[in-house]
Amino acid sequence: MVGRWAPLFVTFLLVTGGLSFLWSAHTRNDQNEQLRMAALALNNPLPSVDTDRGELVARAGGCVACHTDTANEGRLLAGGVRLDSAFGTFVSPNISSDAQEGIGTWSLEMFAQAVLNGRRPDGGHYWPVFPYPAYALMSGQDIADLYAWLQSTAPVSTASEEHELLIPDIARAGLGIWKSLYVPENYRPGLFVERGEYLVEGPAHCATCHAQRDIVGGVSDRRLSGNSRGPDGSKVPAITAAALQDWTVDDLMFYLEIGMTPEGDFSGGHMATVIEHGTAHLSPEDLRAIAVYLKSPANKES
Amino acid sequence: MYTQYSVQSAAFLLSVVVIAGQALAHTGAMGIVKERMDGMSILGDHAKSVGDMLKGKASFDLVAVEEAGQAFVTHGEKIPSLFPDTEQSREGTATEALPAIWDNWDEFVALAEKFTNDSQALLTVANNLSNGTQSVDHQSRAVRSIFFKTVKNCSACHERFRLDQD
Ligand code: HEC
Ligand code: HEC
Ligand code: HEC
Repeated sequence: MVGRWAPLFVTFLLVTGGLSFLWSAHTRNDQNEQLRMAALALNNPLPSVDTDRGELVARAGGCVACHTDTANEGRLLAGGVRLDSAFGTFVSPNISSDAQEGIGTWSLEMFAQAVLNGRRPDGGHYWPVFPYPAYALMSGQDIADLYAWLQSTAPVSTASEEHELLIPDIARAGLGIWKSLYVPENYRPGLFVERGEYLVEGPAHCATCHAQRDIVGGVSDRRLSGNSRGPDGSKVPAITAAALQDWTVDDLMFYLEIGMTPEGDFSGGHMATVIEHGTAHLSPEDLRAIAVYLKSPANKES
Repeated sequence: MYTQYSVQSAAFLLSVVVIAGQALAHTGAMGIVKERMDGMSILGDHAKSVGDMLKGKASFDLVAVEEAGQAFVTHGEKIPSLFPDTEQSREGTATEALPAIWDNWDEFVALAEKFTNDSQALLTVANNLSNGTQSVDHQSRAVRSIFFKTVKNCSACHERFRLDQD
């Protein structure tokens, strides 16, 4: 559960942040970041940028859900969603196209650094409550489309709120090393042959909840073999091909579109949110790609 | 030690802390709790029957769609009365009903009403189709769109007012 990792995670950050002999890990992190940016540059100039596709990516990736305060009728992408945690409360920032309060003046490069590498424009690190460790696997085309769509939305001049954390902001410094352990190393075009695997591993970040976590809260083994300590301490089921043997591809597509299980029940909780704000917005082709990948031998238990 | 696939997520580690409880199975439910669970199970059976047709697992059958629409309307109207604000109802064995129901009663009733209205629309569409002469393909598309709209209410209500199963 969250509470069990919290002290370990903080200790980890404070210790690694203060120690320099782990410098090699730092270097590795920098190299990974450069690799991802180089891979992105390979795709540039992109053949075309599609803002409509960018909106789909934003929904599939949960950007809209986490950066729009729907519960309090907040404006699109204006932030303000409060995320309570054992470390205090994080408040998602404004990422609308506003020049002052949003990301209206950001270059594509700055944006890619944030989403793929968790790098702030000032060179610091973002807290991984912003799930960039999963987004690190997104393709250059998706990043460019996403950027184009975000920049095309209406600017909102609401100022971002400060986080209310119980840990000092300086602990951010330790995130560099943490990132070298938990942000995937080798993003490169062609890493995923199947689109379904790309969607599951990258933008839709299914492993965030469906994979087991280790001692400092990272997912070091991305097999979707379930998680006994899910987001609220509850269990998240395995979704490997073996675990889903009674589900057909159509059952999975139906589930990811409207949340209906093969028995006719409708789940609530976290998965309902993932479906409503995420997978329900995907095209039938993408839903099929995910379902086919989940049922394939590549999605194995061990 | 850490594979190339090592992805974390403190997104999750740092994620929203919600109170969770261990839900028991349907077994052991009594009285009003049993009554509403049975009603909900019937909704589930009908949803499965229409779902199987739309997935191509069963052949398309408008009569079964009409039956589902009728069952949804009948049960939808009863939902508010099956959740009285009594101790039995709030804390009966095996219940997955959340206290949020009684803290936000108007919202709960509004959701039940919306579900009933959308179910009525599903029933009307099915009735009209059985009196018409459209192709099965057309019928199936029409049913799919109104069925999806209707069952979104099932998830919406469960998301807000029913305990997570796992
Ligand atoms: C679970 C909630 C969550 C999700 C999902 C999420 N973010 Fe964020 N995002 C945050 C939080 C919280 C921060 C602030 C992190 C910090 O201060 O270190 C943030 C920061 C950012 C920033 C930096 C803003 C600034 O002013 O510095 C950008 C850009 C951003 N997110 C874009 C995205 C995009 C694009 C997506 C989808 C691909 C996304 N976010 C998904 C919560 C989220
Ligand atoms: C925020 C956490 C979270 C994320 C992200 C998430 N899931 Fe889930 N998922 C859950 C939970 C919790 C359940 C259990 C729901 C229930 O029991 O009603 C679940 C259930 C499921 C089930 C049903 C399994 C069964 O045996 O009943 C499938 C299939 C599924 N998820 C697929 C996915 C896919 C595919 C993705 C990525 C697109 C994904 N999930 C992302 C939390 C998540
Ligand atoms: C207005 C709210 C609401 C709507 C609409 C709704 N449900 Fe439910 N449902 C609940 C609540 C609350 C529970 C938990 C009841 C309990 O455990 O006491 C539940 C429980 C269930 C159960 C589990 C029953 C059991 O045996 O434990 C199933 C199956 C179910 N609902 C199916 C459906 C289906 C299918 C639909 C739509 C066709 C639907 N529900 C619409 C509120 C709703």
